[in-house]
Amino acid sequence: MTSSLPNERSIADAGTVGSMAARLEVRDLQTWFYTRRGIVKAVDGVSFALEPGETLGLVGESGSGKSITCLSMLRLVPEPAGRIVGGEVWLGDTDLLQLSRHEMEQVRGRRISMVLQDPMTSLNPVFNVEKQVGEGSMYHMGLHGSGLRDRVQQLLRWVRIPAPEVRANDYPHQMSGGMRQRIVGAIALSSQPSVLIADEPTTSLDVTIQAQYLQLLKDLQEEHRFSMIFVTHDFGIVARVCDRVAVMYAGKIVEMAPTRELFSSPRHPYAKALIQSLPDPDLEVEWLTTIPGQPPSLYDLPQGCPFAPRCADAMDICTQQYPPTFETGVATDVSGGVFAGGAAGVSSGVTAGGIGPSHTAACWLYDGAPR
Amino acid sequence: MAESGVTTRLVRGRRLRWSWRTFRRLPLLPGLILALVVICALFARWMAPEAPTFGKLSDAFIPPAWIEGGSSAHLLGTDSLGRDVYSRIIYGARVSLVVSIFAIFIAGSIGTVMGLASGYFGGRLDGLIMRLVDIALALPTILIALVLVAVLQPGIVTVIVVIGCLSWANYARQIRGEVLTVKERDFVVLARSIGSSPARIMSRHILPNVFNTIIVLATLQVGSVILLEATLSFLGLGVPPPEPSWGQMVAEGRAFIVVAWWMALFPGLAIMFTVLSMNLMGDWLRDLLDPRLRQL
Repeated sequence: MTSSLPNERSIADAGTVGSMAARLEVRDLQTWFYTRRGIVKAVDGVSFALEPGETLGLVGESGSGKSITCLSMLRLVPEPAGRIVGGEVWLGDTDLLQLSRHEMEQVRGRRISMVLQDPMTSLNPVFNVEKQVGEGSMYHMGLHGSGLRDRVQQLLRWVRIPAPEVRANDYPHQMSGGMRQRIVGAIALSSQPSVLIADEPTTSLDVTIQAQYLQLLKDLQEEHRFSMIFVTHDFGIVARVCDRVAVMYAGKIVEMAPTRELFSSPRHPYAKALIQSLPDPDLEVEWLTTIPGQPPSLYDLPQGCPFAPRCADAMDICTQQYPPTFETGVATDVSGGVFAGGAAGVSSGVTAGGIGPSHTAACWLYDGAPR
Repeated sequence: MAESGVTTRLVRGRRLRWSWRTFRRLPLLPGLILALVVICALFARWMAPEAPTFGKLSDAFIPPAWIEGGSSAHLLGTDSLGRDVYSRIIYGARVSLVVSIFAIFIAGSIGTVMGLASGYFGGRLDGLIMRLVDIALALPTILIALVLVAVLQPGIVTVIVVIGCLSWANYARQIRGEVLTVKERDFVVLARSIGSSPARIMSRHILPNVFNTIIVLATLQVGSVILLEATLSFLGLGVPPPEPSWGQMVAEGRAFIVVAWWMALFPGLAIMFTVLSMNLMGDWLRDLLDPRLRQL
């Protein structure tokens, strides 16, 4: 279902909208929070790459740094407590962290934008839908008056809002949760960004609406060719929408793999435990598997691997030194046994030769040493 | 077209929310009193039986009409110069209204800008502005106002500016608090994520959300501004005579309180009822604009 407004083309030409597909690459991103109790390394050395049109899932438990990673890419970390202390965020051939504030405002919305978790609070209660959806088009495309109104209706049609000419005059409280979240989507897409960050966009929707919304995002992605970073802790959603998955723990990416591979042969003990804790409808079990212990306090992270205290496979070295990221290879060994890879220090999620998506894990089990 | 008919009906149904029901809980008596004050201020020339500055010394100290010796020509009696108290009260409403509207506008504007900047940017600017607020709140307002009015030229403009510049602190503090909560809400993050600049976010997203607070504070402050103006006039540094102002009338009446109590009492009552009504209206407005109470 594509929208067919008579003057759609002229609207699209009205201003320079989102650049065409660009590769996003995050290198060694570090975002720390300076609090009275000490420094919280919310994001500590995160690296990944996002190819044009790709969907990368970012999973991990609360406080693992998923959302802060996203906010850091947009440079929206709450200041002055939070600060991006290191790293690079390359979008195409610009490092977003080097841009001036003003230049960054031009990037937001136009090249990267974001959908937030709670549609109840993502919309401004005092404005009607038209004003909010039109905001981005007004800034970035310079649209006003009837041009802006047409653009808003086009956007509402994109996100499948019925009767947009009526709904445009509604206020957020007159809409359902699913509708509001679609409005948020329309706002995020209003300047046709090349990267969309979706920070748990379906968490506060009920299950049927969730499925609908995910389908909508996928359709929109197909129509408008943006790449997507999808933050969630729902593996069902990961399986549905993501091409690749990065698993985060205590501010670091511990494993990165194509979605299918993560489910079939997780490498990192944390990822393994997560996958094992998923309920399997085919098995009748009384108790679901859990991971013993709790995630560490980010105020005083243990030396070495932060997962070591909870890890069944922990070795001496795990408590002494944080493991580098190892290439674990595209496995054929589905049993999840120790795979002796090699090639330490691969930083982005794509193999050096760019042959295809690789499977990496930050764990000493894969350092290739004989055990 | 059938569909457009539905459309307009829907739209109209949505917009008609400011019906008479909204005003049903408007406090009747305070509303009437304030309406009367406004009418007096606007139409003083036609409502007052005499000019406020016109007096015959032979008519001095005539008591109110219903008291022995009173005259029906002077409903509330006359003052020491034979001027009609009733007419002067009607004209005095002008001063009170003009001073309160403009002074509150000045105070509200300064306070809003300060509060927005302080709450939104935080950090050092916040610290600086909040220390200024602390200082402003610690100043003895009347004393400072007296000094300022005395140093500057007494007159209605001076009074307005001085009162305005002395009462912004409450707005700044209150609005800062509101901004702190509003700016953390997701729609602000969303607005930033599509590239809105701080100025746009403050004016388009935050200001409308704190506007209720501003309006309520303003109405609640009308009372204290009228009182402050009356106090300044009472102390002889407000609106210079013979232009009538309630506070100044009370001040003049004070000297003759034993022989002509009506000179001070009636303007005093005017002040009291206006301030009281304004405060009650402020309460009503606050309840009306509070969405949590609006649902009731």
